[in-house]
Amino acid sequence: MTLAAPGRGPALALVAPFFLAAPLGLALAGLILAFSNGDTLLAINAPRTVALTHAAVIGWLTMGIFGAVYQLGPAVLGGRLVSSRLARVHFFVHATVVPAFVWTFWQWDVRLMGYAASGLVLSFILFLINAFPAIGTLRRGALPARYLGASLVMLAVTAGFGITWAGTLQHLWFPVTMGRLAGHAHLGLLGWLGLTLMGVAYQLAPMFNVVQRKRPVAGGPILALTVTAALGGGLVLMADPGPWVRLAVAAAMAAGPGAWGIEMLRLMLARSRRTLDVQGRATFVSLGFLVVTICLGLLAAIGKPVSPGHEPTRLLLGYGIAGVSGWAGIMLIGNSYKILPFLVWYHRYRQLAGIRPVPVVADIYSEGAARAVLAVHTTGTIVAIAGALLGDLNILRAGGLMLTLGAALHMVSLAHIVLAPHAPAPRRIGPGEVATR
Amino acid sequence: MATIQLDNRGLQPPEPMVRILAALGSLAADDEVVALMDREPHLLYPELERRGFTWEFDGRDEAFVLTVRRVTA
Ligand code: HEM
Repeated sequence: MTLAAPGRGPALALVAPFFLAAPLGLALAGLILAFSNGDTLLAINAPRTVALTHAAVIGWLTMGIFGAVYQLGPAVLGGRLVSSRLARVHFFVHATVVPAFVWTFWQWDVRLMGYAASGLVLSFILFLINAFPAIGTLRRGALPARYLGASLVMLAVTAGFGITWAGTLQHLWFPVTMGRLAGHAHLGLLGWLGLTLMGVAYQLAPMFNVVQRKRPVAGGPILALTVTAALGGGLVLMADPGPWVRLAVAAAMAAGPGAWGIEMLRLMLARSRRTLDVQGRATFVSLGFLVVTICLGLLAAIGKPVSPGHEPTRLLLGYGIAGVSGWAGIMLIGNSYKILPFLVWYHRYRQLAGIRPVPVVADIYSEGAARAVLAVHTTGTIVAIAGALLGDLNILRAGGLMLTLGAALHMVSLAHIVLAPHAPAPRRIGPGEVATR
Repeated sequence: MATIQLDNRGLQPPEPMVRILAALGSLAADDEVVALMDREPHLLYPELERRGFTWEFDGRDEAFVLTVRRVTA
């Protein structure tokens, strides 16, 4: 038996800003998509596309993941933050640097890009100082902690290549070839975002959908496969290989998330809680987008012969939108409606629990509003993918506008969770009672 | 000495925490609450400490067991 040290929940004021600011990144990405021009469909490294990508991956998804790690590490994995003050400074740095970074891509100002990229590296360093102890990797071998540990290393590697690419764009040490671009991109997308979301899902999907009869069976091998594919594949891509090697790398990169998707489906189908709330729905929708992402990714790796209009950029763009906005984004949106309400519950009601009736987590957010966000965001994602694949700028722009609308709804709905008073609903938990929802 | 047994498996957070805190209200000096859990309740510990309880968590087997008692002077 172990006598555990008291855990410390992170302050609401520390975590909530990350969740509330994250949709701004999505809104910005949606707006940039809404201002797509002809280049967007012709070159995947067009300035607006690189701006759009980083608004989405660093401004939206990474910002949300920062909040999730600061919350879930101490709450679920038993780790601790080194310093809450550092985490607050980190929020300020990240929230300030991201818009500047995105702006330098939009303007393609390589000199300012270097400064903004350095600010971003600082933000990641501040995060990592807290994140490693927060997930408690060294003390426990839990599956989510192992995924998060690996993903943090991948974030550092991705940022290392990113700042090098920004440096070479300014100082012309060597060209950023399509292969180098793809290598950095996949280290970030699969290594950082993919692994983090896969690990968090291993924790939250069974926890909130009440999965008892089945346990993950292949979490360890899937982690090893995904880390090897992201790191090895990312480095191979940087050498600009031919189509067959590219296809082999794509298959290797798809294998881990594909196997994880099957495992998630198995767990979700074995859940005891039959009624799906927004998080359960988002998990299924996100798995659907994972299938789309894998199919488009494999086609994009084959390249020209199978590209619509013989224009590989359209396939790459559709693939990116499916992976970022569909698979990763919808998973994050769904989990936000568990992580944030639970945190609010913990700070407002834990001292009253067992003494007076207290609301349940479901009383703290509006399921209707959350489902509306999910519906608008999912539709926007499908429309944007369709616009990319059809090569139709107007459809692509419409998708961008819908994503911005979804982001605005999401932010209002999350702000309501944090700021509004919550009246316990009639089926609240009283002393000695158990809510059954 | 009485033992209050709780089976907190298969419940969504924060229900396990609420059930344990509710059971503690009626706990006499020698009594204990023994709860079967799905996972270690890290965030419960500060609240137990605040309310004057001590705890042991056994995480060795598939079913995790939390035992809570009053702090005795
Ligand atoms: C310090 C951090 C980072 C810096 C300085 C950075 C820098 C860059 C640069 C300069 C490019 C464009 C190269 C070119 O077009 O010539 C690029 C592309 C890209 N980066 Fe980053 N990056 C960073 C972090 C990340 C992270 C964390 C992710 C993913 C989560 C990511 C995902 C991507 C993607 C997907 C592309 C390709 C965009 C496209 O083709 O439109 N980056 N990055």
